[in-house]
Amino acid sequence: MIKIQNLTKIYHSDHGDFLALDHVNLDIKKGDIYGVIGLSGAGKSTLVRCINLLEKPTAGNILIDGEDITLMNGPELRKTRQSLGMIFQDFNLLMQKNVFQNIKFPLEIAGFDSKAADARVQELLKLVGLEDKANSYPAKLSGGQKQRVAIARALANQPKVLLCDEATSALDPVTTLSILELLKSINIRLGVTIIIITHEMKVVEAICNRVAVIESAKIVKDGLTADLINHFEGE
Amino acid sequence: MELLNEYGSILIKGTIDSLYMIFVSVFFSYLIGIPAGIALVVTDENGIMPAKTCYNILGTIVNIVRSVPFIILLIAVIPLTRLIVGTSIGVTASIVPLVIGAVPFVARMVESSLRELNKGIIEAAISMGCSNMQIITKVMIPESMPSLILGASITTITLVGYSAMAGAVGGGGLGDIAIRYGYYRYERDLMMVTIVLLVAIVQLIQITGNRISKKINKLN
Repeated sequence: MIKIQNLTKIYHSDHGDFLALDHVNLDIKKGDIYGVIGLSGAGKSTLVRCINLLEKPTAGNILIDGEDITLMNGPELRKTRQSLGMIFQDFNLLMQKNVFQNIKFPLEIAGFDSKAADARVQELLKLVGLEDKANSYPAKLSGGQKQRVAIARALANQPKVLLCDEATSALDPVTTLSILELLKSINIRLGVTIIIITHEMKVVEAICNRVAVIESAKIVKDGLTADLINHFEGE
Repeated sequence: MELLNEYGSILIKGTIDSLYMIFVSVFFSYLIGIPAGIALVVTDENGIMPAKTCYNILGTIVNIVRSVPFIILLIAVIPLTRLIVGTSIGVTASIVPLVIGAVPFVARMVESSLRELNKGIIEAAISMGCSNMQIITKVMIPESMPSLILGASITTITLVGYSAMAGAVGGGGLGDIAIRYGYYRYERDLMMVTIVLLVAIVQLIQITGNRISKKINKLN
């Protein structure tokens, strides 16, 4: 489903070059909940941000269902981005729009008819369990509720993939668990492939079937979560 | 009381003239200043459409116009005013220098409001497949609206001051009355009345701006 081949990202600055990703290869299959774990600064955030081209890779290819996103631009790239939902550590909701309007926003961008969009928003509100918060503004919501809104918004255009960039890092353990459960049920019920970037092993253990460990810009291990956990315990 | 009987109609006309100058200039300076402010944000090297040359040229023009003292600008643009309005005297004529003086100010106000916006929100919009135009019109401007409104009240108040200065070169309005009667004819009382009126206008603009900004802001 997603094949990352020799992905390299170098940041140029006045202080010299910084190698954030060094020939990274990953093969993510349809239906996976794929974890990418590493310390901060290891390059994991850069990796996920390259998948929807929020960061432009220096070299390498990213094939999404066989199409190389690194070669796309303009309308074609925007269309592809609509099939890749993304959620963030800081939620990044539109603060001047209420919950309903936030979830409707990507549908407006995609050119949905307003009535059809409203119906879709209702479905999504139900999916994330926020039917009673439709008219609330993000400032009045808890962290967990904000991330639920962000998840609903990311799923609005029925993406094939959901990218999660440290999506639970700003949440307390109980809320983290409930968000992870929601992600898991989305994966099972909607068949959405999920890529999770995290620095917490317990996130990987809780929901990822596969995991890659990233260290100093390189993937040092990858495989089934169960195998990897055994490996760490063996050390 | 006697003063008001004698000069009442002049003061009323002066107030109307001032308000007309101020609000028409605010309108035109925003018409030009908003696109300029947006351009300053999006063409920045960290903006959504980086364009170094465009950013530098625009920034330099803004800085040059802003460095010219308004009273000098008033006189310097007289030929241009004649060209556009046909005369350099009167209320309508003074709108030309007012707009020229205010556009760079508005551009900087708009720029600073848009820069307050959390960069993550723009990234989220990009990740949803928004075009640059959609990011500007559907994300940056609506999300910055409370701050833009506060900026507009500051701009309007600055224009109250500018419009009073325009009176010095025959621009009309309350500033004109203050200078003609108060300064040249030593009618100190009349000058005081015009000052009180200007203070009232400033207060009204600030309070209105604060109220609207607070009312539409969903952050609190």
